[in-house]
Amino acid sequence: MPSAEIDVSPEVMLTFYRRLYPFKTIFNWLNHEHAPSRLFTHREFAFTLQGDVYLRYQSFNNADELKKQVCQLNPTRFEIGPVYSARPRDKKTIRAGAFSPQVRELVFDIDMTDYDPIRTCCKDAGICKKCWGFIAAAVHVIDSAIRDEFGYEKLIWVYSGRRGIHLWISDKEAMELTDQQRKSLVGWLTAIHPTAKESSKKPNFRFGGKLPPSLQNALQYLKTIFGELILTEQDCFESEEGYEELLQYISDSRTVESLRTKWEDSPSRSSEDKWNDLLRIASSRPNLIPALEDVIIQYTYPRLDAEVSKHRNHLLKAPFCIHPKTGRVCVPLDVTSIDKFDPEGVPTVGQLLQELDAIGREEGAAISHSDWEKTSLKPYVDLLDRHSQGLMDEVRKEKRKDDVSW
Amino acid sequence: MFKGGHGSLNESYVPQVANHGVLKYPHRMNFYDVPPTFDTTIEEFERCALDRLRILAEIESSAARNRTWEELKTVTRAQCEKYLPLNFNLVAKHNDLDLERRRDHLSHFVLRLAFCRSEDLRRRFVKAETTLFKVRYDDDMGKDRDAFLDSRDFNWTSVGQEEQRQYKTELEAAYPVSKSELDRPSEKYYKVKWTRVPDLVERRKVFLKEGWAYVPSREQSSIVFQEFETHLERALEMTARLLPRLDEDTRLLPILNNLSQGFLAGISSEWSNASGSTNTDEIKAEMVDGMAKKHFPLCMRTLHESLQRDNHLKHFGRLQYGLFLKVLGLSVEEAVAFWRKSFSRITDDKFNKEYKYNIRHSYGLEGKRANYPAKSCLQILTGGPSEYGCPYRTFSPENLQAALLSSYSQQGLRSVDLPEIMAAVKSSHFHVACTRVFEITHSADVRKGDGVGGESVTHPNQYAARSIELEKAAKEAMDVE
Repeated sequence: MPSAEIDVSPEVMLTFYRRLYPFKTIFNWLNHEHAPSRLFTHREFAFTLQGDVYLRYQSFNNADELKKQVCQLNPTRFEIGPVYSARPRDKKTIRAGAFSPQVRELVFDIDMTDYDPIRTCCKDAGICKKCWGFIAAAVHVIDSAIRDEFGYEKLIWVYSGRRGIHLWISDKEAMELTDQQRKSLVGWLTAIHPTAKESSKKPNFRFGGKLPPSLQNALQYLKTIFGELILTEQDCFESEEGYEELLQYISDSRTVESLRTKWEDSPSRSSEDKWNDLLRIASSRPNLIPALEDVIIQYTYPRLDAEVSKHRNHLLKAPFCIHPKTGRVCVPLDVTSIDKFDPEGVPTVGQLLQELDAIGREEGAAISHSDWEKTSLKPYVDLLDRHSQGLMDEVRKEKRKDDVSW
Repeated sequence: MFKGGHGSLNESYVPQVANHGVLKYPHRMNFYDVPPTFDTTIEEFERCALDRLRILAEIESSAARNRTWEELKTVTRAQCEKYLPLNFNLVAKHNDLDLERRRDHLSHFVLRLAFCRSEDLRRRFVKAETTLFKVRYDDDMGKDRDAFLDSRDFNWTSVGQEEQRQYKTELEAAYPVSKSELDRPSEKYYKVKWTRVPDLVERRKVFLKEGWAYVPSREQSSIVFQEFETHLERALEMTARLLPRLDEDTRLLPILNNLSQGFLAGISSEWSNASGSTNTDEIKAEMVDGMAKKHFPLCMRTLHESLQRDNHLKHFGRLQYGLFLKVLGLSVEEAVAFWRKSFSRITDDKFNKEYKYNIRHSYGLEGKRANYPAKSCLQILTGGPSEYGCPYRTFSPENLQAALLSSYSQQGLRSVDLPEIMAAVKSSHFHVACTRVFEITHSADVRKGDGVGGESVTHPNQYAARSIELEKAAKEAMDVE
């Protein structure tokens, strides 16, 4: 990677905020209508300044005010919090009891770190096209569960800039969920506890040996990707450590013994061969099937960072911020092409500024405020704009209905 | 709303021919949607609230003492029977029914006023009230319960046959049917927004489709409880906001203040007003030392031991310990003898001049001649820093463990029992810790969870009297043999 691409110096950031960051788009998305409402004015913004100074409880009347402050403070990134009962910047002048979070998008955070125990391609901060398979699987499962089971429609997925993905849900009902209800929803979607040590704790998500319908739906999909993701790409059961992990799911000790001897004797057997060995045994012994299903779920089911979703007052990085380590923009993603997404194909701030320079040289035109239209940032901004348009249509419909009702 | 004055209680309840049709409160249970608007006396106002508080305090300490649901139900039922009975429609005469239900209604709303003031009190009140509601709901009989549920609009839609067929497999997978139920006609389902049954959602015990939860009729209670809880939470917040504007004379506020302290130590017990002697056998001054070792709770043992060690006690210590001994049954003559002997380092002259008056004063023989009650746990716990206080609260954990072992090891307290006691102390359930010590040191007669005659410790004299009573019973049993 050329060094210019990860240049996130204050000067670069400032140019990015001044010329490229789509403040209007963010405003529309948070505000749900054109005229500033409480959804924006009572919203908390938190800035991480150069030198890791954290500035909380900022709030603004409109997009221009936000832009002015961002350009003045030039933060490395900023985060979006809940809508409070009063303007967050007035927090100190208000009685403690009268200042509480009211509404907030329902958010989810999926991070590659939670997959470290099972992924074989990278470790820690690294991410490659292969790892993305886990994230893509998680996005599919969560996206369809939220839509089908909970009936929410206004979902936007945002790449976190390095090795994770965020989901923001802006349906009115979702925004109004209490912390208790958020906790329940997370409980529904959680099947694997990333904190629990894999080997010590076998998953238990069955009732009387049966999978609940929600997990059955997920399983139907996960079965289709398990082969390529886990067996081919990750080759999870190739090493001794890997297949020992697998054998722990089989409760019948004789089967375990015979498989272990077989696999020890021929270390060249791939994960796929080993999985096929299991399938062959299972075809004559149907009571093994649930264990295999458990394996599929355990290795591919989404691993959520539950704390992010449970509380309304949790802050989450705003879309289009720059990840300070990679220089990449946190871009919104289209869920239908999530499988094809390549994290390394996301524009970096350095790249965008180079594009701007190139245009400037060609046209020699004056600096305008929405220069993103001429860069490779455009498709991503358009994506969020379309999403916000949907939110605004909803509000307008709601208002019109109110008018007619009397 | 709460006008004083007597008689209204009887006026509106002229005996009538038993006819359930005219019951003011047709249902045993109450959702407390409508506040009471009848007249009541200030005494009734306080009395029912205290009675209800006794039940709630016991429910709360049950949670702290890790009782199972069945144990909790038994304990709560007993407390309800004692303080706030609520009978079924078929059981009692209709006149009594209305009276009982009226008290239940009134007491709930009085406590709302007392417990709406802080976030913490609200949370505890909601939890205890919801538990009480669940216990009663469990006890309610099928027909009564159905009628009660019908009386309120829960805003649920029943799922039509068509829809039920459409999701047949999902519904069956979500609600596995045991073998015995298989031959039953297909179950009815209700549709509600999923946010109404968060507990079922969290445990994945429900079928969800586009935001709707399909709840089978046997899980219906989950909706009811949730509704009760959220309704009460909202109502309490509303009350809290309106309370400052309560147009009130000076009679109610002190009562409400007093009530809201009640959860702190669990107010239940008649001991709160104990001022006279409770023991029929006369206690002599020289018996105190022996009794202290066998029957006293830790606070009084601590006082007794520091008196023995230093031959002195400071004013508040004397007051606390002296009144305790008075209620225990020490006559004024014996009390003077006891204190004289204990204060062995001062002259007769000084004793008579400086201490005797105070002793006689506390027996109501000097000054304004008031018969002072002994201090309850609540008073000891909430007293100022100059007072001796409850050792479970004031001692450091190390000191407390040492004190417990040295005081009670002869009566069977072992160091393996300490973690449990210390856990209660750590979560500020001091009376629970004390009760547990009582149970352990009386393990021959008292099982775990029995407490002091079925209740938690709320008064040092209650502790001592029960201990003496148990010893006497054991002795009598031995004599018979």
